[in-house]
Amino acid sequence: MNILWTIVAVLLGAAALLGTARLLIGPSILDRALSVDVLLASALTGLGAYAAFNRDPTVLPTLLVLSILGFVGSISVSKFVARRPEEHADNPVEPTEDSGERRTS
Amino acid sequence: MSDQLVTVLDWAAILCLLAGSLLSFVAAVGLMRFPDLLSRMHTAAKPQILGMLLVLVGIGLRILPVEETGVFDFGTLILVGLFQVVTVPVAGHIAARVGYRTGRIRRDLVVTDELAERLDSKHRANEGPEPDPAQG
Amino acid sequence: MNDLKTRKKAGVNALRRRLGKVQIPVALGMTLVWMMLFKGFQLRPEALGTAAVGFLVSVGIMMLFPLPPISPGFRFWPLQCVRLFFYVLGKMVVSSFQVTVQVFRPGPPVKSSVVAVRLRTDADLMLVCTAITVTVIPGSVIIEVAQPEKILYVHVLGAEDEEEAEKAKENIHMLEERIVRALGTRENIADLEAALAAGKGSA
Repeated sequence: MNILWTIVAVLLGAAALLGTARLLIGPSILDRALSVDVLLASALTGLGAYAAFNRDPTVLPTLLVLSILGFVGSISVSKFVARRPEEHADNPVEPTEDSGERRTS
Repeated sequence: MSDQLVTVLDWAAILCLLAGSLLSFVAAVGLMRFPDLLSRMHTAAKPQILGMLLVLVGIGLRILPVEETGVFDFGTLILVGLFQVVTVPVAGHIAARVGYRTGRIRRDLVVTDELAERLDSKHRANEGPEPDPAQG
Repeated sequence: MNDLKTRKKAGVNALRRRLGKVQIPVALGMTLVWMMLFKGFQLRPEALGTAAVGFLVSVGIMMLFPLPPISPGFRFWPLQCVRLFFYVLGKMVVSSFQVTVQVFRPGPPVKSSVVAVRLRTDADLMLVCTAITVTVIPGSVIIEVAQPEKILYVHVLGAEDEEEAEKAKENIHMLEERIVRALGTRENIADLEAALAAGKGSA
């Protein structure tokens, strides 16, 4: 049984490491936001594993707060990117329309 | 509660947690291996929903036998699951929409793209400028 | 004096209008969430107080942030709901497994496609439910919703040719059918059945 708990910890640690790597590489802000989401998911899983291991329900409200935090965080990052798409796009989907819009405005 | 039952519950719980953390790990590997943002989004949503639900079930099974009040912590667990299931798709949709519109998709890896066809035809018909992604 | 009276009257009227916006079922749902947050189902004297405060808080929220009512409403079909639940759960497990295989498969990167799916029911609530469920199932993400036409644009991972794209479309239609059967009003279900009959007739 103890081995299995260790495996859970190792898997979560590896997941967090890989997520951090993508956070560092990630070419755009959206990639980084996504990897933060995955990091947050592994943090949630880790907290849950802690609660389960110690049979300790006191950290459960933290799970609730973290899940809402992740939602608000990723939405606000996406909105931030949406407001100024031209700075982060390396090949926009509709280049002609985009430039036309800018010319008229 | 009998000791045997507790042991069985513990084993079920650890299996759930193991599956949840495995999903987390797979998501992180997918994050590194997949080529574009939209593909990565698929793996990222997985531990957030299915993995989280499995972990919540695991926690529930672990704290069920402790005390008489253990059952009442299920409220929090159910709420976490509910929030997760309702909010993650919304966040994913907004991120995917912005990602698509800002060209974070590898054209060579998309076989059929019916949305691009629609945007093209709309552009050609000159129905006015596309709505700003921020308005979505 | 008179001025004060009319102002008071206007205030009372505004309050009444705000109170009219409160939807009791939604307030009850919010109370349920409140009860869950504070372990309100434990049998103890505080539980009643928790319920009362929760109800007051939810009414207050709905007065401060009034929302339009859910237009056609919905109703539960218990048996179909259970079927939907297990269907979605099964789908989630199976497609999680598929995505895992795609992650660890060596070779060239996985291809995907963007498909357009036209929904067959008119209700906004059904559209939202379908969109959320499609995204909950791994391997498909909604990119874009064309609102008046009720078209969902879905990015499907691993659909490498036309055939698989068609299959993904069929899956989403199936999901929509099950959701409407589980949560739709009678009119929604009638709509769906008419569309199904028409589809079969043309095919």
